[in-house]
Amino acid sequence: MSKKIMVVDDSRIAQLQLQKELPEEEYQVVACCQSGEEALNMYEEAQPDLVTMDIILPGMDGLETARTILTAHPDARILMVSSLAYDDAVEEANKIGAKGFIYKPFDQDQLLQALQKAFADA
Amino acid sequence: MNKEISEEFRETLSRSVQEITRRFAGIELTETEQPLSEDTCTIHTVLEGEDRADLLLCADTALLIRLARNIMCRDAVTAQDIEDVATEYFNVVCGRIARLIVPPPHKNSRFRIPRFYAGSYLPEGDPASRWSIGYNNTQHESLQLIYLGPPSGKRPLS
Repeated sequence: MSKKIMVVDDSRIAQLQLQKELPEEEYQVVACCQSGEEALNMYEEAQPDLVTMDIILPGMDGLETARTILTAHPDARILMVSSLAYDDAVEEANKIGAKGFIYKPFDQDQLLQALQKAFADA
Repeated sequence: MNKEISEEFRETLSRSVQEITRRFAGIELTETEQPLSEDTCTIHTVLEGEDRADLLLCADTALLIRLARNIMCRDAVTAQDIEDVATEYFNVVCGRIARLIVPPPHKNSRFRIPRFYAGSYLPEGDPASRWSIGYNNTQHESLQLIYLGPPSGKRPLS
């Protein structure tokens, strides 16, 4: 059974690139959200196995959105996917409890490895 | 007037922009002083924090169309496709080079969501704190990365 992925990114191009790299037989994108607020509203309805989360979003940023989701759902799996290459962003993501961090632009191998690692972690 | 930047810094920045462009869209860029054409677009963001600065990408529309075609995997692209792809491309470039331009421990660890403008756009700023680097591809389509820093004496770059 394929794993359900929720993509949070304000760019439809980033959403498209991510969907293009995910093998359909293993992963199914069940929701795409363009803001943190939309992601918070959508999370319970979509019940994803994993959320990919951009950091720079309109309104609430991705780190704050991840923190809010993980507070309400401690078992949520969140993978940060961002172009922001500052150490403090990575450290904050780890502190919040994100399952990983990958930098844009990513290739399929990097994405799949990060997903496998996120699902392998308890 | 353009601020002089060190050769080492220019090379590091150039390698980053070239690598990102290759990985993002399969386009090879070479550093050049070739001017832009008259048909250009601009994407702009602000590096936030105590040393606020502007970062812009001005590009020939032909290059942005090529970028959009490569990403969308089709020849027929709309104006919205071009804007969306250019904005995401610049977002990725900014994320990487912001760290080079404003290295830790400065507090500019975020930038605003990039905005797209059809045509040229250059915000007001101190010309003495400005620098730019030009590139073109094998089809001689050009783009320029422009940094417009905080007023002289208050800039993070040394």
